[in-house]
Amino acid sequence: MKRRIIQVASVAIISFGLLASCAGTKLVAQWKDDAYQGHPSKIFVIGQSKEYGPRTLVEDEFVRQLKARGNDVIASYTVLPREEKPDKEAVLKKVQEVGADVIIVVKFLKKEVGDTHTPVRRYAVPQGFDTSWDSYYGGVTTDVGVRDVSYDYDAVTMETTLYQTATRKPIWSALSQTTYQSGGPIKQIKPFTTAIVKNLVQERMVQ
Amino acid sequence: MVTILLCVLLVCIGCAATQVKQYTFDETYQGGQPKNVLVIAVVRQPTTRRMMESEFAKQFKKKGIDAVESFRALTTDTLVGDAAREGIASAVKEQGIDTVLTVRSAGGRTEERNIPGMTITTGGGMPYASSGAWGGYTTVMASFPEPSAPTTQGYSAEEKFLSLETQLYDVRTEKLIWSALSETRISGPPQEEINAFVSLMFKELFKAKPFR
Repeated sequence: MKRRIIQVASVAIISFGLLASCAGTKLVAQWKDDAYQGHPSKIFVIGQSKEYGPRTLVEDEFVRQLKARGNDVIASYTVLPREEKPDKEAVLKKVQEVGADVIIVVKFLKKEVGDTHTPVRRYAVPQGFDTSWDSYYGGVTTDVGVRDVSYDYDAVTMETTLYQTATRKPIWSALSQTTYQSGGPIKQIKPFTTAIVKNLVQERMVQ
Repeated sequence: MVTILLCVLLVCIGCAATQVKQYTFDETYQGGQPKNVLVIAVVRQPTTRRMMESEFAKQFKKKGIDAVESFRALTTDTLVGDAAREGIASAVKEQGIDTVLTVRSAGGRTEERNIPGMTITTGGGMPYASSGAWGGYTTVMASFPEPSAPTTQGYSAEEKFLSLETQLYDVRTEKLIWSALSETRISGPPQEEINAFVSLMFKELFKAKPFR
């Protein structure tokens, strides 16, 4: 019975650890222009997506989270036409019209499907190790088997870049990977935005 | 003590993710150290390109050499075709560049490794062995099969390697003056290897006689 409990507990702990370590958004690469010392007075958010729905969701989430921290932010879909894709100059003209000095561009790069598994391992754990010195040598050992733990996951890679409107040059950019098992990519917008905004705050790129 | 330090050092060198496979140097070059370098990383992914170019620029500046990253100096975003060549030529002229450093991919390879199953026996008495006690040392060497014997299954693992070619051109003569072909073992996000790769390239570059 005791052996069974140890087995179940070990499998549960390892499974939980694997899932917890793989889910969520992590920044796999980050670059910052050390020469930039400014603070944005108004931020223009662009979600680069072929589909209008996800674009508005991403932009709205960035606007919501950045505004909550006291930043002045505007979503691009509220001022740019929905039907046709505007060119770079048209976007910059609109950015200047609304008085934004920093542009955030969120770009979807790729989605991958992966799987992770931990092979079977067996550990022989001595019984009565701490009860008497002789049990160490002559004691009975218990095999604790850890079963194959495997699961599939989706991983979405995004690139987020901050541009300075005046110079049109990048001032910060990051590659992020968001992994999840269920719920679809739309449900990951909020945790993804939280991770990006948290980093922007840490790097003092926004308030 | 010295022996241990040497062993640790050798192990560290052996495990370095990036290794220089070959390098060439123009022995006729008499130009001395570069004064103003344009750094171009031919990398498709913009964040990775910026990370690599900025790290090279930072290292040059540490040596008192001016350096500018291509993403700041070039008007074009692409590094392919005639537009790139014209953009580079224009930046070189405008910024007084005397040397151009380029980094580009030279391919990659995957190596499969088969790790056999293992049974590890842990010696008893290790915690009791005090330093310098010959008895404790013997106890560790003569390991007991009990109490713990973790068993792992055999498995195969893939190791990925990326080759990069780093080249230095003299603007005045438009000639290649230094080149290194390196290979980096990629065990996580490739961007994690950038700083170590750049440090190694600098070490190699400034070994060359005119740059010392």
